[in-house]
Amino acid sequence: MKKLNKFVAVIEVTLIVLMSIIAASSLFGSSTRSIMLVFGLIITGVLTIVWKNWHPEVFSFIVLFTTVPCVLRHNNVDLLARVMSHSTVGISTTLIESLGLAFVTIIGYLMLKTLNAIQIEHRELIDSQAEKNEIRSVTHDKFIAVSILVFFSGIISILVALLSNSLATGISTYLSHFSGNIIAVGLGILMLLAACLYWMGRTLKS
Amino acid sequence: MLSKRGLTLLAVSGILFTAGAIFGNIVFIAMSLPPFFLFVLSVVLIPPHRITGDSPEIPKKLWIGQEFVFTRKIIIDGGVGAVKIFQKLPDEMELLEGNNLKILWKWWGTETVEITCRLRCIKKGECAIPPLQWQTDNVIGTSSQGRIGEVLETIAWPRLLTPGQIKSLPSIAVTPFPLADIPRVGIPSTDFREIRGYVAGDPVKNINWKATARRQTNSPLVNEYEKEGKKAVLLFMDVTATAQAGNSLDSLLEYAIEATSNFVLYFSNRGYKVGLAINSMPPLFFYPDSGRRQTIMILPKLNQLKPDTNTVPLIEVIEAFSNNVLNFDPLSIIITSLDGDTRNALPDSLRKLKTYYSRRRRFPILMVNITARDMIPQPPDYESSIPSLMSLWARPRVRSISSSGISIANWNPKRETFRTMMSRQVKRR
Repeated sequence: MKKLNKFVAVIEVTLIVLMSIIAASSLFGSSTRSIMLVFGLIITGVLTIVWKNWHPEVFSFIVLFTTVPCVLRHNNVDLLARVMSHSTVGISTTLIESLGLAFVTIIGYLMLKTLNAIQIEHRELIDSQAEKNEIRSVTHDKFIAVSILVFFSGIISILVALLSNSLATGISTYLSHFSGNIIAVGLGILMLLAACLYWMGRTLKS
Repeated sequence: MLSKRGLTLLAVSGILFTAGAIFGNIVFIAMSLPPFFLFVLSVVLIPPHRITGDSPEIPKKLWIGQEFVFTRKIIIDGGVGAVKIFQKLPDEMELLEGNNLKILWKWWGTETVEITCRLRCIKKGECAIPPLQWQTDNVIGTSSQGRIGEVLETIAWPRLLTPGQIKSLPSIAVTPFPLADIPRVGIPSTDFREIRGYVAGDPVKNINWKATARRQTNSPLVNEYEKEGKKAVLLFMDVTATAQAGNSLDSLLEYAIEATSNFVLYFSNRGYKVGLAINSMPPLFFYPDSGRRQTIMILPKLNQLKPDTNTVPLIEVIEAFSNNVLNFDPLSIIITSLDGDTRNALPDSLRKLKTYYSRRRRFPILMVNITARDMIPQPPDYESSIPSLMSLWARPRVRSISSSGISIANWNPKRETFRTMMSRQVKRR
């Protein structure tokens, strides 16, 4: 606790509070139970991530589990139709609202994951007796780099999600005219995916 | 190499995508995209990997206590990420100023950094400064590492007194220290000692014409012969006592070696026959001889001595060297410490040594007691009086040895140099 980077800790707490409020309100709306859940999630997050410096997977999984009833309402394949029809939890949201909820959850998790790594590295650097101003500078610059990368990943993801949503109908209508070639198109896309993976593998190796 | 954090991102993305595919849920599929794109972006942003630097020069020969500045310039290129540069230092060196660890975050472009440390040589022996180590990490922890430069080797020697630092005039000394004693040096014998350069006053018959022709020097070389009635000095180095005090950085043995080396050099330069016995395992004996050859033979061996608790009792070494004591009637110098655990064995050894001399009021034996009390780190509060207590505790033992006719020279290496201690010994009535 003593070797905590206060700036990173404040960001972590802010993210925990934000994720807790959004997750709780997606489950119970604006009721008393929602407030209790918010406090429960905040305490869990602060204790596990900020206090104990554990990995943020535990907290993020609880948050994701809380948002699941709301997200599952947008299933196209209704595997849980019987369960969901009797469900009393999870507010009904539009697709855009659910996407917003999903992005806050996942971006929050990614930020917490990288900030946790920054905290661990910060502690290791203090133990290795590096200069204080160097540690501060590295932590600050790394936080900026992480924020930029997570921000761009979010932007790209939103663009891809919106584009795929609008293009999906058009492409499927177009492909329906070439029902005989659907296997060839599928194979082509698979090959493209394989090529991408191969390139990534080569880059990582080098 | 794919990092654990990178694998976690891929796994999270895969799980969410699978859930989205099973339920036909666009929200889950959308959730799987940010971790995937973060992973891809992190892979594209490779950590810095082109790191080069210079190999600085360090002195080939160092003295214990010598300080020098060590600087390395490093150029970092390619990639974005955290860079950690570490210069490992050998055990023989102490960092006085600067930091041998440098960390920085590198954005695009080329960065130049410098590691500057002020080092001090604290232990004798061969030492090597290893190559500079670097490690770089990108945002998701993909790392690369390497080394820069070559191993820089040097040899550290004990501090040796330069000739003429302690001068003495022939007179009667307070202590049986021969440098203040009236020397009994007789005429040159026919025993060859060494070849040296011609000095004004040397007899022409001593010029070695063959050696002069062979060396092709401007000044002739002359043969030097041993002189009759030469005085001898026998040194006994007590490794058992000196190896026990101190720590890996500051050991009493280092100071014992410094004292022994200086005694050897000092008396050899003045033409004395110098012999040395060390109670290491196995014991080392250098039989009394004079000239530079003896110095050249002893000093490297002393430089190789390492602290070892497995030693031979000092009394056995004295017994083995007894013939030389009887033949030469030398000044015996024992380099030891009363702060070690051998304080009970030491009086027996001294008693044994005294039996080889004829009975007289003051024996030509000098015990150099290297005090370790100031080498103990000062603990706070009530424990801070430990050095004073150690001093009081050793006092009766010092008095007992002194009253038995043995001269004692106390040397506290933390408070005075060896030269100061030697100067104190040559005072006269």
